Amino acid sequence: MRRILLDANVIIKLHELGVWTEVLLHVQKRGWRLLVAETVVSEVDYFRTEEGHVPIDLTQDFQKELLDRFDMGAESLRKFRSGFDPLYAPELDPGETECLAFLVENPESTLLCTSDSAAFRTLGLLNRSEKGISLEEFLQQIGLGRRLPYQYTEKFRVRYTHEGQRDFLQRRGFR
Amino acid sequence: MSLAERLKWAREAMGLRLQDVFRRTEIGISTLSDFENAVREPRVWQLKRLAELYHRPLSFFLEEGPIPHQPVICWRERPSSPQVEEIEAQFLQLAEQYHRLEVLCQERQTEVSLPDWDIPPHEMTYPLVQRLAQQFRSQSQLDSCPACELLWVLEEVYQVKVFHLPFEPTGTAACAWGESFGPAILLNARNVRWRRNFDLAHELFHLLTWKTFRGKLPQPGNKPSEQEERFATCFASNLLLPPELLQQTLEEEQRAGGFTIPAIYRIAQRFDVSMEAVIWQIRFLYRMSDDWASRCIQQCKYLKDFWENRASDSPPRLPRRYEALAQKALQQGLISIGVFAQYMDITRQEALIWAEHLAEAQASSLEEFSTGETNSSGCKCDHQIT
Repeated sequence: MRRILLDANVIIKLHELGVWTEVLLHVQKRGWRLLVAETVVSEVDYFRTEEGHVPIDLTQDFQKELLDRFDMGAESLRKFRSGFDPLYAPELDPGETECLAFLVENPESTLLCTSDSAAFRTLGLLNRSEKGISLEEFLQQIGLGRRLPYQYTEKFRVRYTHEGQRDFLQRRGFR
Repeated sequence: MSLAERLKWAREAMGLRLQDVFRRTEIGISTLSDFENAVREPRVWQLKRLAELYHRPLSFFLEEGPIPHQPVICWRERPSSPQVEEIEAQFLQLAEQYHRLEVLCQERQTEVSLPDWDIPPHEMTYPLVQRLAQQFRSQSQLDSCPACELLWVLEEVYQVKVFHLPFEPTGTAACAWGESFGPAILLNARNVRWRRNFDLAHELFHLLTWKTFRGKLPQPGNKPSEQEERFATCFASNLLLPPELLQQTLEEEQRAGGFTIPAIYRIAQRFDVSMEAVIWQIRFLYRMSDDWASRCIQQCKYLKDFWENRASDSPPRLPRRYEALAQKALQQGLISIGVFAQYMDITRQEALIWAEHLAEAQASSLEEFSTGETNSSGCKCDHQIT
């Protein structure tokens, strides 16, 4: 069973595109699971429409078991971060860090769907490029493909993953 | 120091009790106590809330070993507790973030640094302070209106980190010299521009004489003496109102109709300082009495609302260079969107819009470059290499 970790930016964008519910149903149909970190839940507060701000509430989606939530202890985070050079490794927010730490501890059939250049760069740095997926690619795989801004494209993911891979090869960003 | 010890240390540094933390994070008092006594490990979302409240990066709590030496903040008049702990924490957090961006973007310039006037305190005199102001002005090429250029020169040339935050009392400012981030100044965002200009010059004196008055290992609570504050005010007056320029302007005013309150206002406008600053500088230059200065100030105060109708501006929330570095770091994938939001003090949604725009701009410029035809020299652009 495939598991997709969603970061805050992707959740906000899917709401903005008006396809959030559709995505949940398409993923369920395929027998995949969507995972959201507890820290990320607190980061997705609203999305913008022409009429104004609309609050994002994932409570019902968790109750209907369309989404799974997870959280990690500080020690797991410390272990995850301990290999990086604090000066030169990309600086991630707690939500991204929690997702990546989870991915490293549970790599089996798990992918991180993000639009964050620093997260893709870190995956490259960890030599786990194949664990990242762009929103463009993800929507395509569940049959909801569409044209998206550059930040959500496969091209964007490849570009920043390469940056991280280059750092990995040069041993830059490690302690 | 363990995570538990760091949590307790950070809370106490903010002057907060467990119940204050509970009120602001909704994490129960017994849970907080368990974290600080290493009975229970915090979850990441809980640690994030605490890190935000304590104005520390998450990484601070995950490091091991001793806590690095905390920079000393030198206040003219220290605001009262608990406001001061909050302001100090914000100020140091901004300065550390600025430094972090410089390191990540590899843009830490070290060629030009602030002059280091390591003068023994007993040798410091008013004539020397006046000469130091003149020396700094000419070295920094501050011309006819030093106040108009000082902020830019300090930020762009000397890499001084200048922040504006709102706090009480308004008549105070602060500075610090961090081992990592270097010299930094905190000004009051509630003050009008000409008042901020004077505060900036005043704090600059403290930085230039940091070793003289603070020593190599300054201790917390090392408040400037009254004498040091008077030297700083003398320095600021002479830096922003250079005697020779002020004298020249006064002579022009005298020829035009004599020395009047409107003339003081015009001079204050010309040098972008307050009317009080002009009066005190005239008092010292022309050896007038304190009584004369006080009477002038009284008269100005009486007419202040009428004359002081200069337009002020809101200070920039963050330094221009800081913002440029944050954008560069985001564009290069060196900081995540959430970190960008925190550094820029904006919402995640706003940061997301920034990220989308920066990515689009980058994509379009790359597109344009890659479709350029290769010229005979092998250069993929329109310009021939000569």
